[in-house]
Amino acid sequence: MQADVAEITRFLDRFAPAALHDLRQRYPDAAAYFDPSGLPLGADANVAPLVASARTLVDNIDGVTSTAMSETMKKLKSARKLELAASFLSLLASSGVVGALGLRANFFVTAGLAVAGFVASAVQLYTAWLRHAPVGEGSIDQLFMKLREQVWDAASLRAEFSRDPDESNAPGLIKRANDLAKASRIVLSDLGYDPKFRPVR
Amino acid sequence: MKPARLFVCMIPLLCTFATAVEVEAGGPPLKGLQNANSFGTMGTRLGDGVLGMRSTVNRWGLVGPENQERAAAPSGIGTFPATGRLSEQAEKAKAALADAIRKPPQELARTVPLSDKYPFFLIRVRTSAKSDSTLHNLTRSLDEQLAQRFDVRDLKVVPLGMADDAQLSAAEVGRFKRDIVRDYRDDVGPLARLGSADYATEGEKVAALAPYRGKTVVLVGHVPQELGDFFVFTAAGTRKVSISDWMKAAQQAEVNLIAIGCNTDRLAPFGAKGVINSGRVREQLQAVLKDQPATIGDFFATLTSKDLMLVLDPVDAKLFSNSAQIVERETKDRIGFVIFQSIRWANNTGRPQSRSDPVSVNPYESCFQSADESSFDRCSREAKDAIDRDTARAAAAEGAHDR
Repeated sequence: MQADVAEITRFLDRFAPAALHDLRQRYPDAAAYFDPSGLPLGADANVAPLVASARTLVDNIDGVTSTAMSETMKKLKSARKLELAASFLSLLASSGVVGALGLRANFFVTAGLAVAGFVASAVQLYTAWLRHAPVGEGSIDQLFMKLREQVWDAASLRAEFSRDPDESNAPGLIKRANDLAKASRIVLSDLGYDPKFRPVR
Repeated sequence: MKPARLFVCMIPLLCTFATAVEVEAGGPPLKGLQNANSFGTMGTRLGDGVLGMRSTVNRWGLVGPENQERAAAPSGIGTFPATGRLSEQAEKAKAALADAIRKPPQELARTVPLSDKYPFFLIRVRTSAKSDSTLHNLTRSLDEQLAQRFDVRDLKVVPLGMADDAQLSAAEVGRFKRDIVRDYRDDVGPLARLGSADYATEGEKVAALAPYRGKTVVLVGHVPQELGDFFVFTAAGTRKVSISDWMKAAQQAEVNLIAIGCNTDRLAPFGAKGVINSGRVREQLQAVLKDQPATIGDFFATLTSKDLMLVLDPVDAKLFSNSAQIVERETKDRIGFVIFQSIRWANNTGRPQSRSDPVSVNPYESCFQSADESSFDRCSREAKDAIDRDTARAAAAEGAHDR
């Protein structure tokens, strides 16, 4: 069977070390699977530790990604509020310029409108920065969408594990869990979360 | 007094060079040494004390063809020379164990530590007390071999495919290259290209392993369950590497091949037990390089750990050393052994090099520093030619001496 859990181990080591520690305690003979310093150089016939690690992942990934989503949502909300403010300022500045063309506005009104226009541009720059992912070319909107899909995938994997008590589909489910762990770790890294990032319980 | 004629046979552990040295206690001057352009400086230690020795060893430690036959070739514990009391015991033990072990394979699952000193160096046993006592005798001979010299310069590490995922594998191989310095890695030799079609037959494998003679080569790789063997990544995808075939070739070529991957003890007479992690293997290898173990036993004690247990099949496995056993020529009794501790091999002209010269342990050694595979092949061809010339010269000198 194809039972690589290296990515699961890496994910747990980074975002849920306590869960990884529990796995090591429960399966002392399978410590090689749960060592993030390297890769397991094969697999044993005993699939129980691998299933346990996949289950642990789907139990933990929800919390991690949910926390990441809430953090990302805060950023997105801030960005949207600032964008709204910048739009107002921009509208004000442009209408003032139109007014100043028709009327004899004094110097201070004109200068104030110019400053408003400048601030509007600066805020727009800042919101663009907020929306951009710290790593790579993607935006945090895209990463947010990926996180949402991953939460969904984790939930469906959990359901499939519960529908597979005899572990007949375990190899396929473990592989999917491992792939999910890899994808999630990449998204979280792109979002710039600190390696010590822990889910909110 | 008629001098007792002795000859020295190689003890089968980690041998840098297969050696058979004919010695003559209290005999004439060391003519063989002069003629055979053999050792530059040879640090020898005699286990039970042997006096002047007349050597027919050429600079490769290889005797001429006629002496090779007499010396019955160096061997491992599987072919421990049947000479002397201890050897007889070991041979009987081996035969008894072979009979026992050829029976149902499910009974071979049990492994026990070789001794308290080597808690993670295991030997395969059957469950019966009879074979346990047989093993006890056998391990006595192993203990002796484990006390032989080990030189970390004889170690080469070869990382293979580390994961099904090529990127993951490449990243892990990169970590090995970062942590194991080039001197102890093989990046260009035949073992670094195990997937090559050039080594399809056993003969080709044995020939390809000549540069590794007497070395300890640690292969580290992933063993996928569906493949049941090591694999390497090639331009055409992954390619299976039959570790058992390479182990057989290695035993013929007198190379210690240690296959480290999950459950490689099931694939080879000497391998790792259970599931292991490449990170642990790296750490243990780094510990070996740092501690520079002086004996084979120390090497295994350092290499093995709770997370990296090695299993030796006492019947099929062979270990080679660069130590030579001294046996009485007529009675075949073992009377001592010689350990080549600081051999400085002569250069291609046959003259011993001075101590200040940057000499290598054998002419192939420098080949491992080649920039690429073709340079390695060219270097190893030149080394082989030099060895052939020296062997022929030594044989001629020996013939002249006999006349």
